[in-house]
Amino acid sequence: MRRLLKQTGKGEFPWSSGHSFFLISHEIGFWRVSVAVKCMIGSLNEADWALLDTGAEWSVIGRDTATVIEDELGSPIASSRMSTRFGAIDGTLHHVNITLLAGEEDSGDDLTVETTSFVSEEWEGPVVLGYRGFLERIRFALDPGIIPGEQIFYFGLAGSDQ
Amino acid sequence: MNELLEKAIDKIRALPDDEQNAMAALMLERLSDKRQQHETFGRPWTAPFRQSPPESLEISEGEDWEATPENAERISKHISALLEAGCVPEARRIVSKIQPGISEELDHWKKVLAEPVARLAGPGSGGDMRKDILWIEKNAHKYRGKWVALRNGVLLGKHESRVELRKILRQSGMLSKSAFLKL
Repeated sequence: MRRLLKQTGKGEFPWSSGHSFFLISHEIGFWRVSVAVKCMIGSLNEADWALLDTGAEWSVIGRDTATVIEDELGSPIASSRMSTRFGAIDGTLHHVNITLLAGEEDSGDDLTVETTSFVSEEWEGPVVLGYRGFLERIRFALDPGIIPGEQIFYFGLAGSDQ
Repeated sequence: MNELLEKAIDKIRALPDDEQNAMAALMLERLSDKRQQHETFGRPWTAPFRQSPPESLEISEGEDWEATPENAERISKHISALLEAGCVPEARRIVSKIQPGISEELDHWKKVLAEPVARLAGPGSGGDMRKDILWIEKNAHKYRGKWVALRNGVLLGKHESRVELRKILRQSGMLSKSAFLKL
């Protein structure tokens, strides 16, 4: 299995626990998603390709995906607003599990974050994996590779040094 | 008028009336999309709604606040304003001091602002992503505007609606381990 190691005075320790390939410059209509990774939202049987965005405050789930996990989301309680490239949108924060998927054999383990995501009927973009409530609890690294198909996304639990 | 434009207009004029209308509608829609693309290019996908944090919360002048059913709504609005300004650590600090059971909204904030928890979730289940990526790079242009479902580089289905596509795949027993993507 490919994994990143951290070297300390006491030896070498695993830094990542799983890896997958990531999609670069994917176009949705006229918009470009710079880096997309494969994840599973809630307890769905299927996966989603989601925008990995360290600049986003929250992870964001739009109408299409929210509709299929509405039973898990519960009722919306206190709403708030977010500014987006499509204009301001209203939504609600919800507790939802998001799992980063490692590839097949020898790619290590999937990783689940019990995250808080901004769910909005008005969001027209892709599922966003943002910093608060998600990336703030994992470590990750992107290896851009040299040729297509070499782009590797490494991930692991934050603070899991031996 | 430039030559290409003249040629295009002549071709449209030669169409039957209803097709002329459909073509005009399509062109206007595309023009609008292009404008939208131009206006949003380089902008962040999402950003805090407020440019600056709200003023600090004072329940009564000079006194520390305490969450009670009477001031729960005011505190809830303040938390919402903090979140809209991107002040998540401050919002978390406030809700961590609030006892549960004071109001439904404050309980909601306590729940959703809790620190996230991460855990390993078993052996990788993402399938052969390289094959999916290869399929997307070769074929995405054929399915613009549609949702597609892939598994290990094989197209399982396509539809304008994700919900409908999911129904179709579930009925045919192909939903498991599929990956959805909007093109």
